[in-house]
Amino acid sequence: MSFAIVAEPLLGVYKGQVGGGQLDPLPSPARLHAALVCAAAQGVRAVADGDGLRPCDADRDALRWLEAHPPDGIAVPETLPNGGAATAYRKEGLVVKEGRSPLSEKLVGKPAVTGVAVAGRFAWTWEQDPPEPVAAALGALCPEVPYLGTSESPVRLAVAAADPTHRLDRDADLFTGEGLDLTVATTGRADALEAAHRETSVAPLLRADAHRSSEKTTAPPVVTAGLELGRYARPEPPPPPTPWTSVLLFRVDRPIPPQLRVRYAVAVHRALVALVGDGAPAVLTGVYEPGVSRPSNRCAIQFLGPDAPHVGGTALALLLPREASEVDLTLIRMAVQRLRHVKVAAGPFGVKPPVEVPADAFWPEPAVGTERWWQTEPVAVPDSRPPRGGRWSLADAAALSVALVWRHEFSAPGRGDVRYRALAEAAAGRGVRVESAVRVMDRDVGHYVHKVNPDTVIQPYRAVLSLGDLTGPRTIAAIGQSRHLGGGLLVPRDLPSDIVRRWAR
Amino acid sequence: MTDFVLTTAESKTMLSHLALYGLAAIVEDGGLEDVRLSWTPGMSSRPVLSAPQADPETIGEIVRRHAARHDTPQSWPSRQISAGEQRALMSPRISVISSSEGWHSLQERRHDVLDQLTDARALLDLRLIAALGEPSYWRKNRQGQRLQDDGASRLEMQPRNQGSEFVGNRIRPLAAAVAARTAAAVSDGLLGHTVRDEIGKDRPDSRTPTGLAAPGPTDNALAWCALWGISQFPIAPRSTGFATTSGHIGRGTAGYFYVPVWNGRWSTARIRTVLASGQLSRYAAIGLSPSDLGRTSDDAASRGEAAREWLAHRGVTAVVRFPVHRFGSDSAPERRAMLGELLKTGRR
Repeated sequence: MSFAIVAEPLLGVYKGQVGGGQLDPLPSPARLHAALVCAAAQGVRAVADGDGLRPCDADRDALRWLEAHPPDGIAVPETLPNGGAATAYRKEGLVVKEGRSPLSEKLVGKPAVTGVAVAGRFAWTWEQDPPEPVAAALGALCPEVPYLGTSESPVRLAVAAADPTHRLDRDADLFTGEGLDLTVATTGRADALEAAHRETSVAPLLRADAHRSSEKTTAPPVVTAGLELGRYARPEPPPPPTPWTSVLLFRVDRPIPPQLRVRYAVAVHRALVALVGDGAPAVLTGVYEPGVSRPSNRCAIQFLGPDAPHVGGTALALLLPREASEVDLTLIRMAVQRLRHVKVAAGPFGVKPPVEVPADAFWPEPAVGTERWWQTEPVAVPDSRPPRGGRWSLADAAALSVALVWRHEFSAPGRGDVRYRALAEAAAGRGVRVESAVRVMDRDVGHYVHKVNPDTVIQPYRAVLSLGDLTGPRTIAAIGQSRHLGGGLLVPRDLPSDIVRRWAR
Repeated sequence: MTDFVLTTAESKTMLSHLALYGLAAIVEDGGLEDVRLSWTPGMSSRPVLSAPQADPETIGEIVRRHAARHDTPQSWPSRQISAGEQRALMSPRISVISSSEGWHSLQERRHDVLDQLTDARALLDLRLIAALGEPSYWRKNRQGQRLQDDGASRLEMQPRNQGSEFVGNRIRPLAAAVAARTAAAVSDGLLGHTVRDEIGKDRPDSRTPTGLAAPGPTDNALAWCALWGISQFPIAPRSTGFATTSGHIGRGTAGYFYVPVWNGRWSTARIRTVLASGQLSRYAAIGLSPSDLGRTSDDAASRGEAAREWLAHRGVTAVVRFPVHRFGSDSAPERRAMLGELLKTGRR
């Protein structure tokens, strides 16, 4: 919650015009400023200035503060523009027409219902509270504003606290990017408005005020001095929570060949369970009591190549899942401190004491001009057999595996095959793209999976994929059936942006 | 490269875009070399003309000379339909000519002007006259009455009340006003240092913008350039309906104007190719219903994506689309391009 001026449209309508009579979709910061100038110069707080009124000094300071500090954010409720399909005719005064009937009334037609229906309140917000006298002046000025836009859209204006829906983007470019482009008052705006008002409130010369046979209502010129455009953009939604929150990273004293990673991971798993001892948590063992609901992800054990970040060498990574309880995690963290050697038939190895790295800041940033894509390392294994009823490719299987890892992000209806297809589709909807998925021919699938259902065909594959907006570019994760034991680790594969753009077509 | 920034021109009024195109066309015609056009970055983007010799004096003098050349009694804007009549010969929309002798005479006198301009290699003049169009002798309604206005450019929006027409009531007085200035006063007006509306007498409801912007005081040098900017939008006369004007989609009397804004510095030739491109027209139609466009079926939506890519690949960052509204009486409607909306192509 931050300092804000909140406008409540009393009739649920906002009516305003911009330019030569076009519908204003929402009141801009400049319009708020103009309304406050008017209230300051005409309301109860104005002070005498010759025959007229002018804003008091406290209000002038408050208005100048507004010019120097454009709102950092605005809150826009849902709106619905009303078209101007109907015309309202209004008599604009009696006009003498020479030659014909002496008096004829002039009817002028204008669009009748041009306006915007508003569900809620508008707010202009500032992250820093204004100085005390400015806040006081604004607090006293706001109730003096009768309407924003035309007099047909009365508002109740007040200083309050509010959360913005859009934030000011100070580095925006007019022709690119998304957001609301709104006029904002800058230095000199209040002075320009006051000067223009003084000019139009001078009584016209008798000659200029004379009657003419065709009277036209001429609106006073629109004051454009002291206005700028500001881009108010919706903040990008934060990436969803990572499947694994942090990584315990051990440096390993010798390289681990890719085809042995599953076997080594199983050995590490056994060693860890033994170290924790009796009552090892289920997120580590993978053994759950019947009837207990299983989390999407458990502790995953992965190996990284000789250029692993943070430790600079081959590393063993223990990924701690998001859904584990604090007690379980403490048990695991205490136990792993005692891990020094791992015994494997293929060759035992030693590990250094672990460092803990947050999972969303694991990999280095992608290089400039590239986009971060991911490659399965060494291979991934589909989570299910191909569902019945239609085509199913390895790419679909990879998308499904991604969706299963980020399961809490999706609400897929149905069960079984229907649900699998829905999940794969939902992942594609979040920007998950599988660019190449190649099956790996290996006579021994035991290199890549630990336990297999004897009826299942194991189909290890290598894929290059994008995770869309599911996660940031630095997150460590693994996909597929063997993600908990040495398979399906996603390592960065930075692709030049123009190649990616060509794919997107 | 020297930059010449039109600080009073901004992307949401059609006048600003045309002023940029017209100024570039005039200074190139006047001998300035290596002219490039661009838009300044940031939220208050302004059109920029750059060239090695784009200093205010040179540009002011070229524009002033150009106006003065069209202010002489021998120039084509000063030619009258017939001796003793004020209406200009080269206006695309003039009051109805009923007799066939009148038509023959009009044609002969028009061809005479075109021959002279061709001999003089006055390419920009020819380009403007071609883009403005001509009174159409080929279009008739069911009653056999001529639909003379159907051969005119949609960008020519001079209201036709009380016999007024484009060349006589806009080009001629503007040429006189700009020619009467000094070179420095011309460039000051273009740069936005001063705003002087000689022909509109600085009135708040001055019609100097000629429908390209909301009524109001408009610098005459800027307006002069904007009207010459029409030369960059060729038309295609049609045997059925209004002439098709590049930069315009939809119904003849309303519809929408559209122009691109781009990244980097473009030559005028490049702008012309994009302005006249079908891709620009198709992308400008995005989000409009067939009835907005005066069509019966909608096949534009499916092609909008391809058009967007085509434009993005050429550096077009956005297309500005201006709805055209009608004001005033039905007999002599005043058309006006309203504030533009940005259709971004997604190019960064």
